[in-house]
Amino acid sequence: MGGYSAGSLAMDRIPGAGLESREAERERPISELDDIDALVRTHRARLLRFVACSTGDADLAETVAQDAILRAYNGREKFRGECSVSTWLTGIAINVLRDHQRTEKYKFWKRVKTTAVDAQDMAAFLPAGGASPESQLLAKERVGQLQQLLGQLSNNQRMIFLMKFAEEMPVNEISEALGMPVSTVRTHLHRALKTIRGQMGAQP
Amino acid sequence: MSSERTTHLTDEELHDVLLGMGAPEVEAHAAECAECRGKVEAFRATMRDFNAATMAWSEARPVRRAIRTQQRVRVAVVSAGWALAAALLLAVGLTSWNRYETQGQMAEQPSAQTAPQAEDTEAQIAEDNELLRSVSAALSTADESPVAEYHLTGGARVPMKATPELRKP
Repeated sequence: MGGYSAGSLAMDRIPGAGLESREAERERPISELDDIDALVRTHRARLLRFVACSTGDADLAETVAQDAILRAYNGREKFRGECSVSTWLTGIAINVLRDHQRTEKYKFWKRVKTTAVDAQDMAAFLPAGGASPESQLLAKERVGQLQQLLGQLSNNQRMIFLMKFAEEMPVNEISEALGMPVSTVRTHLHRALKTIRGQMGAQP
Repeated sequence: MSSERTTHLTDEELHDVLLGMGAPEVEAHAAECAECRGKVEAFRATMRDFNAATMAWSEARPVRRAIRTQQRVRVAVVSAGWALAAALLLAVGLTSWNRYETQGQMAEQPSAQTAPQAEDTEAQIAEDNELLRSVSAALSTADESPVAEYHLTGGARVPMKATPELRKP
């Protein structure tokens, strides 16, 4: 694979990938990466959601999402189109989040106490979509329950679960983004599904 | 029914179907068995609702600050802060200089005016002491120190000086 070091979405080029990278460079969505406003419009909400659901901290999520977009914009010349821009940004956001957690660990936990995302707050935003009030109420309860159950997963399980079922990333892209073997990703997903489906009872 | 299975899918097989990693016969069974297909579709429906709700929540949050103007705003805020600090220092300095000049002029006055000066001084001291009491009261209701809250140190706590010394006439 050209453009990325094995097992991560760090922006290091692999030697010898010049010819392939030029072809990929021609194919990359140049207009999207060169326009920071477009990047914000297209990806900010999604990144914010991903980090907020991963960490439970809305304030941290705002910071990470913003920093990830800035890093992507400033390093856009290194994007070789080996994956989608969305996947690339998700990988950058994960690295940014890890940096924050390493260098500001105490402050991170302090912020969680004051800016924690409430499960029912998110559930309240469920669009009606023509459903009956009873169906809407049940759906909101399931959404809130799922949000709470995510908090019971390990950090890896939660993040990988969200990457698969919220970000809709293929398992192989999750494996590349996190530097994990596919089998390990599958194991995390199975454990997460077992916890979530098991605790949601008859309803998944 | 093309599948040779006579039993429903196990949880692990269902999870593989949800991951898109099911064996061909497992995928075939999930497509044809109403009960197994119902479980798969029910989970997917929950995830659709979750994704819709969380995306709507995220899109409703305003951008905290424009990325492009972030640096400019930061410089402007820092500059404004220094300007305000300088203005405050100048104001305090002028006030102190003015008081010094006033006291100097009063010292040159005949002794008949020394009594009012002593009263002003005592009144000023009383006012200052009241201010210090207010500050002390405000400090005493402040949040608990994070050091104590999170038990970050096992050593003896150094007592903080909570009450500033009051001025004596």
